[in-house]
Amino acid sequence: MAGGGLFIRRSQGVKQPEIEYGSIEFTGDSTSPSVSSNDDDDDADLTDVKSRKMSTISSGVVNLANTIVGAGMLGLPGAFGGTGWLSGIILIVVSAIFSAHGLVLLSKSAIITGKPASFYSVAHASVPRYTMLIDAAVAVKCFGVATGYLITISDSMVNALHHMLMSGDSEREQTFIISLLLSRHFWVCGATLSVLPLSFYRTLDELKKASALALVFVFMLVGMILAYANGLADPCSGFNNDDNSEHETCKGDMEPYTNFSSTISKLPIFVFAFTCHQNIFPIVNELELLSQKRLNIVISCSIGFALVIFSTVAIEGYRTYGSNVRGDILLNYPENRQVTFLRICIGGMLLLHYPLQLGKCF
Amino acid sequence: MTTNVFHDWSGIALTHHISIDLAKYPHIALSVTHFIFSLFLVKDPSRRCVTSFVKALIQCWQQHGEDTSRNQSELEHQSEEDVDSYVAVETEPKDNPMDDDGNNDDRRSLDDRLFYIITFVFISLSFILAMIVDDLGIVLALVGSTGSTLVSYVLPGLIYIKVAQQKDAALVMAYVQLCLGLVLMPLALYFVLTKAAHH
Repeated sequence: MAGGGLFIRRSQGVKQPEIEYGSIEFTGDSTSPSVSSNDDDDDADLTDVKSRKMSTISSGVVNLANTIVGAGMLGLPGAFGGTGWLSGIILIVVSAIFSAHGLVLLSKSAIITGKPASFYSVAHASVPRYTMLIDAAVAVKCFGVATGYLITISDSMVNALHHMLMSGDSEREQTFIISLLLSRHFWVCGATLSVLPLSFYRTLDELKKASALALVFVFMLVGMILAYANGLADPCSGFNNDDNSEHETCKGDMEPYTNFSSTISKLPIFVFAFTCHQNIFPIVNELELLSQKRLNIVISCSIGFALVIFSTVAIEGYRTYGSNVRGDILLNYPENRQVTFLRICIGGMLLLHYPLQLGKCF
Repeated sequence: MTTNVFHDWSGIALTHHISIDLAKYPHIALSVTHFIFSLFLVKDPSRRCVTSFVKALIQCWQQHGEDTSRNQSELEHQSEEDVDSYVAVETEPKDNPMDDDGNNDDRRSLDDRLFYIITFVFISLSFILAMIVDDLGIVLALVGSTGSTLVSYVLPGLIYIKVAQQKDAALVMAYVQLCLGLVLMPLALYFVLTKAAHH
C-alpha cells in the first residue's frame, strides 16, 4: 500500500512541468486553431460534468503501454516456436507497424467525429450498420484476454505451489489438500472467484493506479528471461527429474523459418499482442491540448515500447528453449525460488488486470 | 481474518450461485477471495464493498451517477447483444435490494441488473473456457484471428474510410489495413483451427 501511495504522489509531482511543456508546445503549434478552440469548449463541458483531469502525453503513453503489455507477451516465444526466429522478427515488426497504423486511423476518426469519443460513438457515426460487429469484436477480444489471464494465473500458481510443496522430497504423500492445490482446475476456480467481486465495479480508479505497478513485474519477467537466455542461470536445471518427459531434450532446435501453415497459425498471436485499440478512445478524450501530432507521439511511444519488450521476450525466450518453447513461456522455466516468486507476482498482476479488462468492455 | 467477514462472504457467494462451483472447497475459496478483497480495497474510505458488493453496486451507482450515465449508451447497445441475458433479467427472482431504494427508477434498476448479468455471464464463460482449454497459445491464436484482427485491422480501416473527408495517402493506407484484416481473418482462423484439431 505504501508503494501505491508513493507512486500516486510521484505521478502528481510529474504532472506540473508536463502541463507547462504542453502549453509551450501548443503556442508553437499552429495546425488547426478552429479544431483546438472547439476542443476547449468540449473540455470545459467535460470538466464541468465529470470533473475529470486531462492527461499528459506521458500518462497517455503509460496508460496505453500498460494495456498493450499483458498476457499476449507470454505467448510470443511460443509463437516464435511456430514461425522460426527470422519470420518471427519480421512478423512482430509488421504487426507493430499495422497496430500503430490502426490506432492512428482510429484516433483520426475520433477527432473527426468529435469528443467524447468511444468505439461505439465513432462506429455509430461512420458505419451504423456494423456497430454490432464492434460489440462482438471488442467482447471477443476482452473475453480472450480474460480467459488467457485465468489460464496463465492457474498455470503459474500450479507451478509455484508445486515448487513450494514438492521441493525436497518428491516421494511426499499426496494428500487431498496437496493434490487440490496442484490441480489446474482448482486455481481456475480460485482465480475466477477472486476476480468476481471486483469485476462488478464500474469505476476502478484505485485499481488503475495500482495496475501501473504491473510494469514492474513486466520488467522483472524480461530480466528473468534475459538471465536464463544468456547463461546467468541454468534453464534446464531439474529437467531430467521431470516425470512427464514429453520432449526428449530441454532445448529444441532453432530455425530461421518454418512452413506456411505453421507460420500463419501463429500470426494471430502477434496481432493479439499488439491489440489495444479500444483503449485509444479514452486517451483521445483525455489528452490535453489534443492534436493528431500529440496523439501520434503517444501511439508511437507506446507501440515502440511494447515492440522492444515483446521482441526481447520473444527472441530471448525462443533462444533459451528453441522449438520446445511452450504456449506460455513461464511453463518452460525450472522451479526455483526466484521463478516461483515471479510466477506468484504475475499471477497477482493478472488477477488485478482481469476486472480492468472487464471495465474496458462494459 | 475475522469471522464476521466470513459470514458476509458466504452470504455473497450464496446470493450469486457461485457456491455450486466451489461447494467442495468453500473455506479455501472464501479465504482467497477475502485476501484479495482486503488487499486492494483497504484504501476504500467507507469499506462498503467488503460487506456486500450488491449493495456497493447501488452505492457506486449513486455516487458515480455521472460516470454511469456515460456508460448508459454502451449498456444499451450491449443489451442488443445479450438478448438472452435481457430475458433472464425479467425472470430473475427479485432478491435485488435495488428495489428497496426509493430513489431509483425502473430504468436504472434494469440497467444495473443488465450490467450485473452481463458481467456474470462473461465471467462464467471465461471460467468454463479456462477450465477446458489449458494451452494459452491456442486461446491467444483463436482470439487473435477473430476479435483482435477485427478490432485492430478491419474496423479502423472501415471506420476511417467512412469518415475520411479528403482522398489522400491515409485513405489508401486505410484500405490496405482493411484488406489485410479481411484476408488475414479467415486464413488465420482456418490454419489455427486445423492445427488445434491435430492436437
